[in-house]
Amino acid sequence: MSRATDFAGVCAAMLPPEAGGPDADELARRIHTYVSQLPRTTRMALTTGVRSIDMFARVTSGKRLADLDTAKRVRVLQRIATRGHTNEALEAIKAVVLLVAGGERAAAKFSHDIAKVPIPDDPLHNRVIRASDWPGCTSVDAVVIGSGAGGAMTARCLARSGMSVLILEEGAHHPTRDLHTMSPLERQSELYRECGISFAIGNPVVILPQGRSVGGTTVVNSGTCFRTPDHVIRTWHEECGLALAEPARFGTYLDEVERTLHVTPTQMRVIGGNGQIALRGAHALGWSASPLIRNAPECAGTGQCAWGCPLGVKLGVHLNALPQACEAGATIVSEARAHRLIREGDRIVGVRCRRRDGSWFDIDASIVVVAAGATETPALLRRSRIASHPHIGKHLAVHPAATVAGRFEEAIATGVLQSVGVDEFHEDHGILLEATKTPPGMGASVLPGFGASLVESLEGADTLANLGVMVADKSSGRVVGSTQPLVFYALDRIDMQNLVFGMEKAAQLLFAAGAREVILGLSHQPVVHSHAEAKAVLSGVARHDLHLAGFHPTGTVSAGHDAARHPVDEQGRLRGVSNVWIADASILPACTRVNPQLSIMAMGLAVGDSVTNVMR
Amino acid sequence: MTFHEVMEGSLRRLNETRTQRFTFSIDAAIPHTLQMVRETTATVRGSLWIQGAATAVPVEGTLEMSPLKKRRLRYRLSWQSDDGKQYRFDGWKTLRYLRLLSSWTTLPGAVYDADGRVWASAELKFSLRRQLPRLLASIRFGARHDALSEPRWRNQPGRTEVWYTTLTDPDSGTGVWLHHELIAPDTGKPYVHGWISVFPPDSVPVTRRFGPYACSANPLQSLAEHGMTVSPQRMSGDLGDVSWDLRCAGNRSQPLFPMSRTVWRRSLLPASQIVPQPSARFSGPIGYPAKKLSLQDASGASARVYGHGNAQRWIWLHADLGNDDVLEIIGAVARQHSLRWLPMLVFIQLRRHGKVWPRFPLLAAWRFHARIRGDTWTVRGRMGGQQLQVQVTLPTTQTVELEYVDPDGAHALCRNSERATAHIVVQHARRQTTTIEWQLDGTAHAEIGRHPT
Ligand SMILES: Cc1cc2nc3c(=O)[nH]c(=O)nc-3n(C[C@H](O)[C@H](O)[C@H](O)COP(=O)(O)OP(=O)(O)OC[C@H]3O[C@@H](n4cnc5c(N)ncnc54)[C@H](O)[C@@H]3O)c2cc1C
Repeated sequence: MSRATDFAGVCAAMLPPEAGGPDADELARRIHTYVSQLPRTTRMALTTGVRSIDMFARVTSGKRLADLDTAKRVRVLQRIATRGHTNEALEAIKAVVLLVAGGERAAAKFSHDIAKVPIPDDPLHNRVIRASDWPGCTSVDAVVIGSGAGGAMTARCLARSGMSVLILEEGAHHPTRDLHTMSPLERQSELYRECGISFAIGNPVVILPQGRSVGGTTVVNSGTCFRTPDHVIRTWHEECGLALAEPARFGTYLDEVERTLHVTPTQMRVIGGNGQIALRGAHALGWSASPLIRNAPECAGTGQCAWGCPLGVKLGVHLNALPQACEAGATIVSEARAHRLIREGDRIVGVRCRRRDGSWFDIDASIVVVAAGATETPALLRRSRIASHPHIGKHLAVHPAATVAGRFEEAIATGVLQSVGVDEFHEDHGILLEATKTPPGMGASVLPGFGASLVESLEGADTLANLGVMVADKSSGRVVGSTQPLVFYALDRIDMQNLVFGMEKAAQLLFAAGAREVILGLSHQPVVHSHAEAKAVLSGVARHDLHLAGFHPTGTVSAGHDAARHPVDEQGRLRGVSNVWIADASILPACTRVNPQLSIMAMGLAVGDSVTNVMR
Repeated sequence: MTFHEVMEGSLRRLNETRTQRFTFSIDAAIPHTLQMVRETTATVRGSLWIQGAATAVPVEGTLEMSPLKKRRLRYRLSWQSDDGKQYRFDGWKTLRYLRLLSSWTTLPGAVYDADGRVWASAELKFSLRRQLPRLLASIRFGARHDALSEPRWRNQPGRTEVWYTTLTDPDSGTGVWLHHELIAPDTGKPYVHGWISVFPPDSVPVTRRFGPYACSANPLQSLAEHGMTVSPQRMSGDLGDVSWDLRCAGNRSQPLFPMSRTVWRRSLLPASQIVPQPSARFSGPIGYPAKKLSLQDASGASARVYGHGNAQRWIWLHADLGNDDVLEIIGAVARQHSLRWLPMLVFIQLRRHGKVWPRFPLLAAWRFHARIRGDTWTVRGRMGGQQLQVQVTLPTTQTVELEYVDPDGAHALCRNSERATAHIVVQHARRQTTTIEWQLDGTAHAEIGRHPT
């Protein structure tokens, strides 16, 4: 078990109160509260990490970290940071400290921003039933596991066809009213799986945040809406033999999704300082860039997408497809984890689920749609012993992203979190640069240094403009394990080259827009002062120097014509059992090359139609 | 096998915190006891209570048992609550062999409203201390009346199937015969038809026929489409000047199989008869020209016939001997030419104090002899140290004469009275001393029938 005091030393070393950092004991207490909500393994790893740092301090200087003076504390950390892999552990701890410290700062600011805005009614009011209130056994026509992008669309389709539909969601339901009053940190713990610090093991480690609440990841995503590029649809259809992706039909599904989400271009009014800088830099270089198209027509630009929109204006599926499914008769049961599918011969006859208090309940169903997301779906299939296909869990693409931040003279005005896209290098290199103002500690953005310089960076976080560099990757990851999925990701050599190239281009853009310095987020040389320097530094970069995040995991239970290669058939049905369909990011047979939510939702609709066709 | 079960617990409406007491008490009938171990569905019937919503309302449903294959006992019940709305309970016990007792005594489930939406979540318990002794005491082997009233016919041509009920009103002495019949001719469309005969003590009997109506897959349903209910609980119909609406209650006695259970189940004889409700009590109104009776616990019986057609010659008696004792006699000569020369086979089932004699009616059939003289017939014979003598007379003025048609198109004629007299004597076979004797004057139900050739 961890104690609050475990963290006090590290807090005092990273953000010394003497240098203007927050009160170390208070911060340690908050970190402790946050960490205690993490899954056991992560929690233990973190606690072991901070205790080892303390131990290191004692061995090298005879005193506990907290008892050393400011300069010595920082020096201990710096010494650890110079040692290859221990640095990675330290970076992870730093991310948590920054997340909590940054979250606190953000909370104060946000509550000011949104205080006077009226809160819309919850369209799911009285429609979501907690598992603790749900009967021990029920029977329905169809169960949809997961209420995210894919699941919501399929559920709506099935409910509208007249079936009785039950949507199971492991996370809780948080109406806008709740998000309005909860602190960012609370929201992060509530809306993300493993409090948002789940990761893929590899070199480098890739942070892999995934939503977990009614609405799935669409509650916390940035709301960027790209239609699946035509050539990607063609690849799926022609090379993978995926009948669901027949281009004309898939196009109508994308249209339907865009209508449901009220997709519109971001208005300049709310684009914010970060977006303007991206446009400015791209313009100066003559690169193709434009405001992103999003599902938030009334966006007020509070920049809090990643913590769930506190105004209810980013239209995740919990605000459209799910209420529409409920209107057509579907029921959502929240806080219910599908544990395994119950099998009889070649059919699944129901789902065994677990409530948060550890009790069980059963659902009988003649159709099961699994839409638990790209990492949970393969694990669920394994728990259900229907994962004999050798490719289940393999071919994970994560669309890896690095963050490059530029420091500007002026404070960056708040605006849309992900506002502008630069697609100059998309066609040739599969690189998208997206202006994304993620809060410190979140995702791949890590501020450099320790001690006074870190305090300063944190204080000056307002003057940072970020560019996310996202690279279309080979499917080089895999998900193993059944109880808790374990993700491995080996960054492909070409993907790595593209990524580094993209980072260099991002630095170039930021300098072109007038950045004073650029934070590349590399461990060995975090800050550069010119494009030439950036280019030089990046040419020698090693894998473990990179800080990566993957926001778009896909492809772990891919669909396609070839029965030997694809665990799911061309209609979305899992091979080997007769009545299980997969309808989430896992069935995409290859990287979407753009942010994938529209593609996943369109696929959800396609699978829904495929199910109703079979049933007819 | 039949048994009685009480489950008690509570339910909670969705999105409400208040719980309400929820109880049901049901009789379950398993058609084939041995199949219970594998997989079978029992019919259940009983009453249900929901605090503030349903007070002792009747429930009907099924109990699906699959203790090994699915490891489940699934209860599905439907009822109408006090608010007049239809509800449904669906839940199952999931048997876990490591926690057999607790899994067998806990029944979680959901209550659905008429639209099929989950209305409440329920959890019921079976109290081992209070309810187990009662459940064990209630177990009866032998099929229950309901399962036995299900149609046997599966669209085969050349079959007939009959549901009939006879009863006597204890107040007025009036007899009633209600006959529902399916004929699936060898060639041609199947149909259902029937009649009701009322035998007032002081005047000539009244008979009204109904049908023929085209018959779909289920004869009872086809009758229902013409307003005739035929079920173990209720029989009703309205033919204008004759109408009836009878409810059958409190039938606790076991069915009788005069030709043995096996013959019925496997259709070993050209036709066979069973009496699912040998001593039933009927209540409700019966109207016939210018009269209206309101029956209160009229005693009678409901029986079934299934087979290829009528015998060449036959006799029949149903005698209610009081105290749930009954005597059922069927005598028949087969119609096949090769068998017509055989003596009449007489099948007897006498139930006294809950015990049935003879134990093996098929073996005993050869040991009883029947003689028919005009409207009187006698049966005598001995079996297992007991001797039986029966004399039955159909009173001329209180007998109806009706024609039966067989599936092959042949016609048979019967004389039937629900006001027959019967004299029944049971003797000790060796000592020739009378053990017991009954005289029924006008309350015996009897018939004599024959094909003209
Ligand atoms: C921070 C962030 C920002 C993003 N921004 C964008 C963006 O701007 N544009 C874009 O296109 N995409 C974006 N994405 C990605 C996009 O949101 C996801 O790819 C998409 O939502 C995935 O859809 P899904 O249906 O596969 O899974 P999800 O939406 O993740 O839904 C899966 C659901 O299943 C539930 N679940 C899992 N296991 C179980 C179980 N056993 N029982 C019951 N329920 C279970 C989960 O709790 C979850 O709610 C972003 C992602 C992140 C993390």
